[in-house]
Amino acid sequence: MKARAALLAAALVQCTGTAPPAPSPAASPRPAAAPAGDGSGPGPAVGAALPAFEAPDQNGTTQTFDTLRGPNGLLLNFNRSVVW
Amino acid sequence: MESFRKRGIGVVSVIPEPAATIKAFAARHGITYPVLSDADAAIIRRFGLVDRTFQATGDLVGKDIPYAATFLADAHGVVREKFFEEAAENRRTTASILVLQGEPGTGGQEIRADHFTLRTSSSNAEVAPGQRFTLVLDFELKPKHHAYAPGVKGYRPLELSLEADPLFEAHETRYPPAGTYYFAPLKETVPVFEGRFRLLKDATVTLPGALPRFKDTDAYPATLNGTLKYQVCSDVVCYPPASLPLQWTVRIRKWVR
Repeated sequence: MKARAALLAAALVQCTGTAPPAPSPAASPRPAAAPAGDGSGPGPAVGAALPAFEAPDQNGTTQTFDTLRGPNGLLLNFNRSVVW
Repeated sequence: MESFRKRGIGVVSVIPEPAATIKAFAARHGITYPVLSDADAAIIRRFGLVDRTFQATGDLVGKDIPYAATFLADAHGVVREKFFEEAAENRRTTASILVLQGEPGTGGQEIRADHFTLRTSSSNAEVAPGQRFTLVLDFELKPKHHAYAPGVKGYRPLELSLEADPLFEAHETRYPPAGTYYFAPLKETVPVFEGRFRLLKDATVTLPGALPRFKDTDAYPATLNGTLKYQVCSDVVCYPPASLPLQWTVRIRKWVR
């Protein structure tokens, strides 16, 4: 159900260009074991593979998933700009 | 960031700015982890992260701006966790992501109750407006004792509530998976927590609550007051429902530029 809601949310964003409203806290059931991540929103879903990417870092070195990841994975952070 | 590296997890930030801007930004802030220049927004588009709701002004018109999302991928590149805030000005702290992975929090206190020990802490000692951080409750119940999980009937489940405060937006409490306990005399099976377990509650520092108090200072302390309701029973005795006042103190600070 949660995955379906996330898919719907992603579809809404793509079709209408507007993010769906946040579910009201009162309407969301309290799960006994919530996943640690929020799981919703645009971009690759939990369980999906990250798309391949390649870009230069601040030292001019070209980086990819394989050059960046540690033995246990990678934390990938998207920032909107360097000032906000 | 060092804490992620200790756990064998690489860290990277992707920003839709030219390479020269990224280089100056990293130098200015002494950032040693990789920051990628996604100058043409190709990565943002490929990830499906362009924020179409963003109302661009000035020199941002025509640029693709991403949602401020964070992904935790395993070594094979499969997304294990995803963090995303509806409001772009809000962002989960990296320390919060770490406590969700099981790292200890900071500060707090140890409370010895009759049938359990509770250690409270916070993912962050300092938080800025818009930041979402995590309050941590690490329980250790006495052997052969249990507390009740949400959904239980006839007993008081563990429940943490925060006092309403315009400075903080409180989020849902995260519970660990509940076990089940069979009480033979009543032939009942109930959802319980036993032994060591952890409750987590996120709070976001609201901009309207936080910003006015920065007039005369760059940082100030703030207190979150909460109440823990619970009921503990052993294999032979059921104790009455009880509650505990809890308190966390954090420093609210301005964003560092």
